[in-house]
Amino acid sequence: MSLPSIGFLQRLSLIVMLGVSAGAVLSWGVLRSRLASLRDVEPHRRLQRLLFWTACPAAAGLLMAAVGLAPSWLHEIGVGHDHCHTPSGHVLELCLLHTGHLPTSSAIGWGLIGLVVGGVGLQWASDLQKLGHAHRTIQRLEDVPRTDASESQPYQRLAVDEPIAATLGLLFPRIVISEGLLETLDASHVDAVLAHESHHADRRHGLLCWSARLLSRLHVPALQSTLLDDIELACEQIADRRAAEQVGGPVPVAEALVEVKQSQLDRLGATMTPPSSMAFDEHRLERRVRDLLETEWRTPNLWPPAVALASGGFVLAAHEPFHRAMEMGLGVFW
Amino acid sequence: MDTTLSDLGDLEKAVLEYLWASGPADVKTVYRAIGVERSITHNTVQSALKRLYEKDLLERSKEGRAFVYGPRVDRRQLTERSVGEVVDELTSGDMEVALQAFVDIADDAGRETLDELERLIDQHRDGED
Repeated sequence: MSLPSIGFLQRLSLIVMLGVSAGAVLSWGVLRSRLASLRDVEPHRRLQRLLFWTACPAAAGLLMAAVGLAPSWLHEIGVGHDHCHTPSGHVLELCLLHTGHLPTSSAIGWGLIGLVVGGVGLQWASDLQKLGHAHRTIQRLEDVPRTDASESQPYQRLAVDEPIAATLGLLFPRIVISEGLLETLDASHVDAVLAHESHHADRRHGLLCWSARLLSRLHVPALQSTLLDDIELACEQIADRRAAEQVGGPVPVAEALVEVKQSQLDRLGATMTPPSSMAFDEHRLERRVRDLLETEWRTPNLWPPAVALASGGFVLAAHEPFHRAMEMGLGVFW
Repeated sequence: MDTTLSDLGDLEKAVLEYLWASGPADVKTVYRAIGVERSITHNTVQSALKRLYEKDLLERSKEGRAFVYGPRVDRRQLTERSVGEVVDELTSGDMEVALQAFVDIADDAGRETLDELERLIDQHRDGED
């Protein structure tokens, strides 16, 4: 097997972009009418569905790459035959087996790739910049001395009046709670807050949401922020439910949510920063409280992801006709 | 904007720690205390003291031919500034990529919504009782 030429890499990139685009369009087509119907799905199941659709474009792109490379790789490991020599008027656009037939690159191809990769790349660059900024802020917490009381606590106590309770960081998440909040809440509410944040930390929800953020950039722009909002809401609701299990019921968690918000309003006044994006008409806080207390969750099975995985597996197993179709398509344009 | 801990280098922090512990001192004294062990020059310590003075963290007075530097802010005040700056960042919305807040400060649920939710909670609490 020879090394890939620039032209080969260009064609493979275009195939991957085609897969990503198809995945993005499919996700948009399905989710724009079905997102609302996920509202009463049990949060954990809902999160699984959302993550599946979030990963759909990336998965479709990888599948296309695998189909493009499959004949070369399978032949290399002695499993597949040399499909290039079967009589079919076959165009050698995606072949690593035969030197001297490697395709050249084209300016139009690079233009297309640059356009798409540039668009996604700019968003990823912005996300990485925000992450760097967040990381530096979290590092500065190291400069803040811990009070004696907080040495034995699983959280860092911030000596400020603002009502803050949060989990910070992706790989090694830490919980911070402000003295202002601790003075506002009674013991049962503090337990609820701590149970909620501990679940975020244990499950690395920060890392999960960050990964989803990067994958969401492959989606249609109209869907990106909606997907992220819904994923974040699902993570919050999962943590709410785990906290409710730990503190003996949903009421203390709901009370803590309302108390913390009231404390924020008291501290910061009626003028609040508008939310960056909301998936539904009602506020996220309201939805969390109502869902904790009232909603009867549905637990649908995971057949759509299962069907998708089976379809992907079928395409890989029967890759030959798909591979030829790719090459014919590329041959038309080059 | 007030200087915070994050704006200071290691040497500047070490100089501050020394002055908080030992009180006002001239350049030579500070150099002997912390400069020698770090294998840095007298001039380097002098520059650090000057920078801290320019950042309004030290005050100085002339005694003879040398300046004597003393702290203008104590450790608690500087820590509070640092915490305040970090808290401003935490509540600014720029941390969204690496922060899960118990209640998002940007959620604009108002007092009417909260009153309604309290009534809902009361119903459930009474139901449980």
